[in-house]
Amino acid sequence: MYAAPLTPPSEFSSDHRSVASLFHEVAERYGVRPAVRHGDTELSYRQLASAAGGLASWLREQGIGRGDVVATLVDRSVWSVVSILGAWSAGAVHVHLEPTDPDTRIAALLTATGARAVLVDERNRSRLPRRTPVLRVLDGSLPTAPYEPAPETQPQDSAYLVFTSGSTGVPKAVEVPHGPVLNHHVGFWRYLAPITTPRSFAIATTFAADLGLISAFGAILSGARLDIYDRHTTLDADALAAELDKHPVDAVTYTPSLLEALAAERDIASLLPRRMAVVAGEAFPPRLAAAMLKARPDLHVFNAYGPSEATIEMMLHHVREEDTRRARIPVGKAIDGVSLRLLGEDGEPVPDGAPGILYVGGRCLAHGYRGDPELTARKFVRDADGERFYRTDDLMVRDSEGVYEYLGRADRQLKVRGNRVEPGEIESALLTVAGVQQALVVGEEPAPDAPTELVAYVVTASAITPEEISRHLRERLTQALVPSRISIVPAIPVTVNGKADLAALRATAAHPAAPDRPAGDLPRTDTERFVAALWSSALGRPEVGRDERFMEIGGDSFKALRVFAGLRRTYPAMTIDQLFQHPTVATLAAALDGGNARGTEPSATTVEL
Amino acid sequence: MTYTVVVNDEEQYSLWPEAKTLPAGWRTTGFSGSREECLDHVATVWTDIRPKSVAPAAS
Repeated sequence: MYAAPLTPPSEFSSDHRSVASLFHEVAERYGVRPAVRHGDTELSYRQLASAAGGLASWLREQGIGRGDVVATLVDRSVWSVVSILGAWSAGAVHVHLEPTDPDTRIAALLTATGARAVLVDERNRSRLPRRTPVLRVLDGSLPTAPYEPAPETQPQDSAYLVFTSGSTGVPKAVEVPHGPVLNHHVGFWRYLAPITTPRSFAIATTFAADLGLISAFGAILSGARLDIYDRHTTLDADALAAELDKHPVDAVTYTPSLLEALAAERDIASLLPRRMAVVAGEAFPPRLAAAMLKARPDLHVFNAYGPSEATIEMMLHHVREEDTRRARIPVGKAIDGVSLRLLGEDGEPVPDGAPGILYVGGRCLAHGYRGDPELTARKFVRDADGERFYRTDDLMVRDSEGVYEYLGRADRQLKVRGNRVEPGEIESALLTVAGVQQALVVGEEPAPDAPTELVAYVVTASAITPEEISRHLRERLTQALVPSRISIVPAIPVTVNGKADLAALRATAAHPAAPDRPAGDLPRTDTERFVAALWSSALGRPEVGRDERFMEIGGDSFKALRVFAGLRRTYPAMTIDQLFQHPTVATLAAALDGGNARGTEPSATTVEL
Repeated sequence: MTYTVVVNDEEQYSLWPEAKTLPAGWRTTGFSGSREECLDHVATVWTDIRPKSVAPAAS
């Protein structure tokens, strides 16, 4: 099976003008080798190409071609990859929608993309709005066909759209052409070549974010095998360790907050791949890097950095043991094809050792924000030679060896559990809730070394509760944007220079008029009290009511992971799905008391997380 | 500072300080003003952020 030697991936692609064309060459060369695996489904390169070719010919029959947008809403599976490759082969632009988003947001984003065709799996079909464009359910009925990339596609043709949080209240659609994806591929493999050559990768994040997408194609375009993990597997330390044990892989990309949350539940060594780990999406805590290298001194650990506007993974740092004793793990150097400028307030370059704002140029750049030329012109600027640069608003410092270190943001943008968050988007959503008059969203660390959480301070005109506000937000925003805590305050104090006075605000919120006591009845049975104690510990609240909903009182998927680990010590047969289906202490306790909770099979309408 | 709205052969728009020499490949649209005024102008004249060479003629 491994007869074909792995061609250095950087030797591909120099004459390819689209990712589809490169994939075609890779698929021809690797034929029967495994390309993607999800659960028990494994496709060879030939099978993957045939499935994508079949989808492309269906798209062409629908009249979809160059520049048209194809949207996909599927749970993570081999279809996540087939849909992208099929759209690219037809010359179309692909966008993945996120299945954990509320229906209203899915509908809004679908409209915003102007998608001409929608691909969906059976499970998510009912989530789509009634009036959608041409629809195709992705299942075994899809015919196969040879993979024939549209010959007219150019590197400047758009490849994908990815949504990121927008400060004005509307998500932004970053539009990325084929050229940067090809450039990432070449640059990434050139960077890795002298260090290690992984032949299998696992993706532990969503395809709807470009970190997942770019990591996946780093594997697929190199002839390596890509393992796709279910969302539930990546939130269950035991399941992830079992998966890695059963199907060992060479490389995994994690967000640091996910890996840290998982490592709190079991030995970190069992959660790491054979050769290399890429940590990306937010600042890499040195304590985590130290724990990884201590557990696995032979592991190559990389810190990756990059905004969506510059194709997400355009700087890499190979983390050494000595780096873990620094205040910050460096983000390293740019991959080939990327140029960097570190400029001061005056727009002039800063000397080594001085902080500046990072501007990124070169072959990694997105076209801009689809449908928003004004913001595009604001963020994508030109230097004196007319070369295009993206202003990241990330503050960095460069040492005398050209290694960059991330210091923080020049604006209010936050990173929460690996997600880019504009507080303005959440504040806009809060102001649409009836009764909310003023809103301020900030990032806070509930305890030292704890991951950043979103906290909303709101001034209300009516008797609306934080739980009701949270429910409104969950119907509108993607999960990562829903604050962990909503504090109702009498006013938002302002400092002399007109900024929100956070110290005064936190002091007010720490002594709320009504104490932070549970709503409704307290737990009644021993099982309920046991569940409630685990919730309390995960949520950092002294008590919880038996009918309060986990997600409305500050719960999130990472806290659910902690609750789950605690529950399973007593209920070893429990699955994380059961936790997801039972949003309150009372319902979860009843399910646990009912033995293995048979009769509550997963259904799309009861999944809470 | 006064800016001018500039455009290149790909019909991509950008802002440029009026007092500075234009980079090669760029021409002025004739619109000048504050940064915000120029950005507002860009929003009205630039309808498709894709470069002209790949943007379909229809859109």
